[in-house]
Amino acid sequence: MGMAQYISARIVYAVVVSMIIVTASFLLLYFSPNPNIQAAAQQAALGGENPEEAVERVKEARGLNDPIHVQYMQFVENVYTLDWGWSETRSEPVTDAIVSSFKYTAQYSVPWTVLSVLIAPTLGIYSASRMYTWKDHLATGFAFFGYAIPNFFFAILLVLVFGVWFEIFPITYDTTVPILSLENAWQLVLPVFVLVTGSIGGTMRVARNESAEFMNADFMKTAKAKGVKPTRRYTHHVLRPTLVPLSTSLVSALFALFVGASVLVEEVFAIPGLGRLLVQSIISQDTSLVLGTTLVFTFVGVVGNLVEDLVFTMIDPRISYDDR
Amino acid sequence: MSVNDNLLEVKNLTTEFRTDNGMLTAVDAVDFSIGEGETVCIVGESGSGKTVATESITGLVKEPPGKVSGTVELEGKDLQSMNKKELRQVRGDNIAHIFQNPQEAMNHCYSIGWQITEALQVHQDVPDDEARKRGIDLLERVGLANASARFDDYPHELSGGQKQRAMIAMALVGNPDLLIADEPTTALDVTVQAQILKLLNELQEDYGMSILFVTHDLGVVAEIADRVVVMYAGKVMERGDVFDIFEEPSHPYTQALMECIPDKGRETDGIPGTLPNPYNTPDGCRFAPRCDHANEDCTIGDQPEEIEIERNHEVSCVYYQSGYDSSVVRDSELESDSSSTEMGATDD
Repeated sequence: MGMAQYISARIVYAVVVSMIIVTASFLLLYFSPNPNIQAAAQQAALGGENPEEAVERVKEARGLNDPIHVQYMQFVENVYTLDWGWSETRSEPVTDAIVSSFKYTAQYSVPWTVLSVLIAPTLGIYSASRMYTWKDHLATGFAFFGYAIPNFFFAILLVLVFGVWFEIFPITYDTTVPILSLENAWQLVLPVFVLVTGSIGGTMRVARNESAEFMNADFMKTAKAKGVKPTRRYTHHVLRPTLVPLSTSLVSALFALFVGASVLVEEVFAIPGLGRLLVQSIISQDTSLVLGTTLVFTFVGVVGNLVEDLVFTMIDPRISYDDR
Repeated sequence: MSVNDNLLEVKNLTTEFRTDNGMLTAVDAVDFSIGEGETVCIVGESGSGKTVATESITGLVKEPPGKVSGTVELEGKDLQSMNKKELRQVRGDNIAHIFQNPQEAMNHCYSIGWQITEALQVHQDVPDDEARKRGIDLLERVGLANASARFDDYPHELSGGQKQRAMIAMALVGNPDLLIADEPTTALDVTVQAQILKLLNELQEDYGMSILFVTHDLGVVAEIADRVVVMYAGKVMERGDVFDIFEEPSHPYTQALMECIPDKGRETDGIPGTLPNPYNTPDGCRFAPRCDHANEDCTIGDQPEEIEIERNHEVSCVYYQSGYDSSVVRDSELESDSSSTEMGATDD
């Protein structure tokens, strides 16, 4: 079985997973009360019309009287053609609301992800190469701090200290600032810092402990005997095998924060991103928007795992392409 | 062979390790030399400091916790006084290592070709295609069939013998003057062992390099060595030409090792006892606690001075010092010609 087959198998697998998620969402929606019908019935009753008729009209117009499989097919088609419905609270298509929020989420997610991917392995391997020295202890202390402190609390602390007391950073996010400006970068420093501290805490420890295994491996002695510099020994001979377990924990750490902590961090810094959109749509019971936002998060998860699987085969040639 | 011809001259080499239990002396004031084109074997049981001694030569011992002292001169240049950059140049170009377990000694994430040519890329800035060509030539030279295709294989796609061949290619890529081979055949099965030894012999003639070979297997020694250094508990017990060592093993430890060769048609129980505690080595001869001939003089002072009992054959045993009867420790089959007076306490 070759690499191409392996890759296509993983892609098929990702599609299947996304189908299961979409189906589950459909079933949950199918069995939950529809706010549009309730609204129509209420309006009809208030206007002196027959609520029963109004309900029938809405059901007919929305295709809710069709058999379940027809509704399901329609639902799936709409999901994959990005026809995600109308957001009542925002008076715009769900996809538009998501795209405009995603713009803000991406602004802190991209630098945060890039920094985490760069810093966690570097710090971990640095720590392992100086294991049990004060430098290692310092890095470990930093990692435990980032791991232990709740992100939202840390964010509030930073806003209080650097925003309110010292007035170095703005307290709330200003959406009128151009994206590619120094001012925008400046106001993103605190949210990115909070998230980076949170995500590298655990992953730096994984990088440290996994690379410690390779630090004293025989092949490091071989590399030394070949006259390879210490930095190259770390960047080539240690980093690569370390990346296999590390990428797993890095992807899951980033994703967990992307979904969970970013909601809180966006609330604290008042960034109108995806996390905030999700929270607001839930509070205002905007069903289509909740569904749309949830789908974005799940698809990011599915794609993240797919990328991770594909990256594995490039990092470690021993990972077989045979069917699993 | 005169001293000036020596490629490598090791004097007073001592390697200690700082551990939680105190200082451990793995190699204790060891001297040896290797001539050009010569094969020297360091022999001894596991834990006698052979590997540490060879790894101390090019500074492969991790410092700290290790601490290496003494002088190591390669063609008259002292390796100990070199800076890190110069030392890396020596490691890539002059002295190469191959190790006991080729499986572990290779990085599983890189192709063997990448690993073979790494030294070239690092030291000589050779263009990729030229490095590749040299790598493939070397793989062919070490007897890997279909070398140009194997070049891109990963270590896990090769058998143990093939991996050790690839390791040898990796070592040869910088045209070394000295190849340090640390038990390169121990992890391989017997037929492959013989092939690898034959290959090393051939390569040595082709490249005119010297080999420092570490082994606990006297069968291998007989196959490959010009000269032998017998080590025990960090000290040299005996040294000499391979013929002399096999014909006339003079130190009780060497004799005990010979007794352990299984193919002589007699039973071997190994050498009774164990290596001394490396944190607290015994006074006198290190081997005295396990030696059948030990008397009270063997357990005082330092390890006995090495006595030259014939040309290029030195033994560190009190029985060869003046005032002792060396016939006590000599094999009965050997013709004794040493000047000796009667002082022997025990007999065998």
